[in-house]
Amino acid sequence: MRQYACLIILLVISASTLAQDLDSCFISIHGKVLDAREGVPLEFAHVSVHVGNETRNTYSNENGAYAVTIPCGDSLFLRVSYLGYVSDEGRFSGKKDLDLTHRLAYSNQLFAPVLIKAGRRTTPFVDEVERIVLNSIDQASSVDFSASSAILPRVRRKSSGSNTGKPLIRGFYGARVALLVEGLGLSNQQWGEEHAPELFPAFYKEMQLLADAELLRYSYEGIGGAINMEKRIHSEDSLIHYEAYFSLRDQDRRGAMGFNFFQNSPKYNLAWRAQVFMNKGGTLKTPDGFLSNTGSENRHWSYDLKFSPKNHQIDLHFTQFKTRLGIFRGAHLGNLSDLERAIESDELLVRSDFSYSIGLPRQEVLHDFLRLNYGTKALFQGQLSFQLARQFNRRQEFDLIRARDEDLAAMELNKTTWNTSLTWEKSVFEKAKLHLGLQGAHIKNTNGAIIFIPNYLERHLGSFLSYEHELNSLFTLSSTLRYDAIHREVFQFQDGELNQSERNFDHWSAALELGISPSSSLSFQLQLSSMWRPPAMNELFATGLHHGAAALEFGNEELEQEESYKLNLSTSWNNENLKISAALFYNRIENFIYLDPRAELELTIRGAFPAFDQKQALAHFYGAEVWGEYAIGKWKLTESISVVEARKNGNEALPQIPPFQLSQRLHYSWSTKQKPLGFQLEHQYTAAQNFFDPALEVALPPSAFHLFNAAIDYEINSAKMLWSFQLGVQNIFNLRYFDYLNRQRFFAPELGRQVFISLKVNY
Amino acid sequence: MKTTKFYLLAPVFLLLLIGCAKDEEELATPPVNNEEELITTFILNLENSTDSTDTHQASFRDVDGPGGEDPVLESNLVLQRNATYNGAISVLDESGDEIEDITIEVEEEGAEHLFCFDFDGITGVSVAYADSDGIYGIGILSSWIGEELGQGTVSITLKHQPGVKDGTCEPGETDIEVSFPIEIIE
Repeated sequence: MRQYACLIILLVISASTLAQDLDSCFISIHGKVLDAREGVPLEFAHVSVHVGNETRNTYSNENGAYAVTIPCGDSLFLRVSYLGYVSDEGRFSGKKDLDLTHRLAYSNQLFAPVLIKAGRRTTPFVDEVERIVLNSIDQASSVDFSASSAILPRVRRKSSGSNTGKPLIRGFYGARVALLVEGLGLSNQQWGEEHAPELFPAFYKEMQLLADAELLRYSYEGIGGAINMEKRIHSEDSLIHYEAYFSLRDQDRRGAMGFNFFQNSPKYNLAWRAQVFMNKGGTLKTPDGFLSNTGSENRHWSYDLKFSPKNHQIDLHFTQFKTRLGIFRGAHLGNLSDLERAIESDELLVRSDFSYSIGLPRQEVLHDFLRLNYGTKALFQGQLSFQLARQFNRRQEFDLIRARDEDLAAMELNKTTWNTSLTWEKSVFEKAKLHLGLQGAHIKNTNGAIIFIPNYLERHLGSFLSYEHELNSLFTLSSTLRYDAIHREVFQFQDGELNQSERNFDHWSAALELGISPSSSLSFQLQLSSMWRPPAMNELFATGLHHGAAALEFGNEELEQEESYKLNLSTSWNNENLKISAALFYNRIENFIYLDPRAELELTIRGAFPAFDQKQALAHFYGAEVWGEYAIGKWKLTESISVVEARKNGNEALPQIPPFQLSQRLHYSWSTKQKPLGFQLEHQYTAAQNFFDPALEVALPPSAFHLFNAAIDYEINSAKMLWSFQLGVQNIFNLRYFDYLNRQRFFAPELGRQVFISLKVNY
Repeated sequence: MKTTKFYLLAPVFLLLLIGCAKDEEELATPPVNNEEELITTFILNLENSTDSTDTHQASFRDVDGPGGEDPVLESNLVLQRNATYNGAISVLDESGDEIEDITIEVEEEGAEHLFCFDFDGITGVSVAYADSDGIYGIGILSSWIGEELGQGTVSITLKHQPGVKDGTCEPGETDIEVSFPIEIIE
């Protein structure tokens, strides 16, 4: 957070300076934005003021305060919005100065219709599609990280089965999308598709898409995009606060509960937070019937401690993520005929009844995340930060195989990652800022059972230089230059012999971001970047049968690193009722790694299988995104469109590229400040993927579908407690549909109707 | 200056980069192998029930598993018309130093396994199960009779059907699927 705190300087777009006309009359508006319940100042709340045709936008600062100057007029309209809270708005006389206090009430709105501006950018509104504040009540009812991240208009869910998914950004997922926790990359097993990120969103307060110029200050990874999670402990009094949430879902009879305790003691410069969450669900249900063996169990907890004596800050964070997940029995295949039978069949080949038990196959995952941060003022009045972190990831897969002990994992990978970094930031020339940093990582990955990828040791050293400058009220600039070197030692066992080899990778990365704001309601942004990715261990070495796809995959040790060159153009515009944000992007990737089919089937004792080799080609990804929100009275309509196209070697299709999608949401709120009551209807249209290469597809892409969701929420604010209720329905019409991006579509349709109810109590 | 405290952390930073020697040892140790038994070899033996010298064999060997070297197929299933042959299947793992007989496990878990026999291009060959899991056949032992002359292929499948075995070949997943030429002569 510290990095961002300083960047507020860059954020504040002084709308007033644009309109210093001596002849006109001006009024100034001062205000403070507070959390209604806790009285905590809300930073980065979006304040929008309109008088006649004039519009001014600003954001509240660390103390929740803002100031706006605007020419006089007959009537003034003002709106304060903050994601996760009910907006405060009102009409005032346009002739008098105002001094206001806004107490925003927490809202339960499922799809978080209000989005806010991040502190790190100077261009207004672009961030509205890139950042959300997370609401624990939503998370309790949502399935996983990818489902939560898909609330961001630019992120979609790439499912693998009904229980696991990864965030997908502009056609990229997995190793090409970086996931960070306060700027530190999550170090998990990136290979394959069947693995969800080991992040529990409700333990964090905010989720944001990082622009490359910022991402490169943290990591070289993420050529397709990056999502960063931020946590905060906020309360002004020194009482112990608590939050408890419960949810139930009919679909898989899932129950969830979570508790969050926190305390902020300014007297001792101390703050802490403890969180725990657990849930258990049984067999999932589709319109075709139950998906055998798809129960799940999660147990996560986290602890934070922050000690900040004068000029120093020590931050300790620990999270444990633990999950036990049944894999749909019908998705485990012996050979190609099994797959063909599954694709041809209109019904589920494996039938079952409801059960909470988790049999075979299943995954068990453990991820520990421990981090210590220390910051202080040092070296020419700059801010110096040191970070030391350890992550441990254990992934076990228990397979449905013959004649073996069920309690032994067929595959087990243990990954230990140590990260350390030293960064220095300093404000220069009033409105500019310099960042310098050095980062190191030590990664050890070993196999506990079958050798899927060889044991390896990776050492990484990276350094960066970053410069941000608000040139004037019109132009802003942000740029980062980075260099990384990676040394990998690989330990392979071939016929009982140890074969040790080494490989080095190194490369420069750079990003430039230019913002232009011709007026306070219009802005343009140009982003250019060059990034890279070394081939992943599975791409280099993993050879074997993929039971979920009935395909043989062969690793390729000759693979070179991928290099990406990106261009992103975006614009945003807003007035009193309408906000629009649009982006065009192009990503050229040299040596793009993909699975290329062999001409001949490979004969094995299980029959013949299609075989795929890891190959490289020049790939182009391009597309557009449009997001808009129209608010009138108590109604609000949000529209979001995304299109991605991808080609390799000229005009050849790439598999797993998301088809066109349109989402629209209508929200009506009866909210008063203290008792918000809202209703929301969502419609999502996903087109069929018509551009594909049959040789790369296991089965033809499914047809287009329309999904409908609805939610209603209500709050009761008693003396000291805040009770929030939510009732929601996903897939209202119990539609039987197939998602092109879900590999399980060969075996089963997507989930049917899901009704959930959740309750949250705050004290 | 209090900032001096900060520099005390610098050696930690360096130490981490140098790495730890004990890692090497762990990385160079192969994991405890509790992987699935690999089936590398399938053998079908047929013996004339009235003439023990009239034997035939079909085998499929892929000793290094999928990929790598091509599998080796050998077969001389040339059977006499209207003779009854006793069939016996062996399933082996020949990838290690010791040959492991997986047939024993298939038999022990007979209630989860079923061999299926399909003919293509030839008619009049029937295969009857000569063993049982108590309810249904398994197919390790079988009885073959060819009533019509002809040539074709026989496809033999081992289905793994835990909890779903119903005597048919539909449920479950495929553990083995191999095909051999077959001929019925006078």
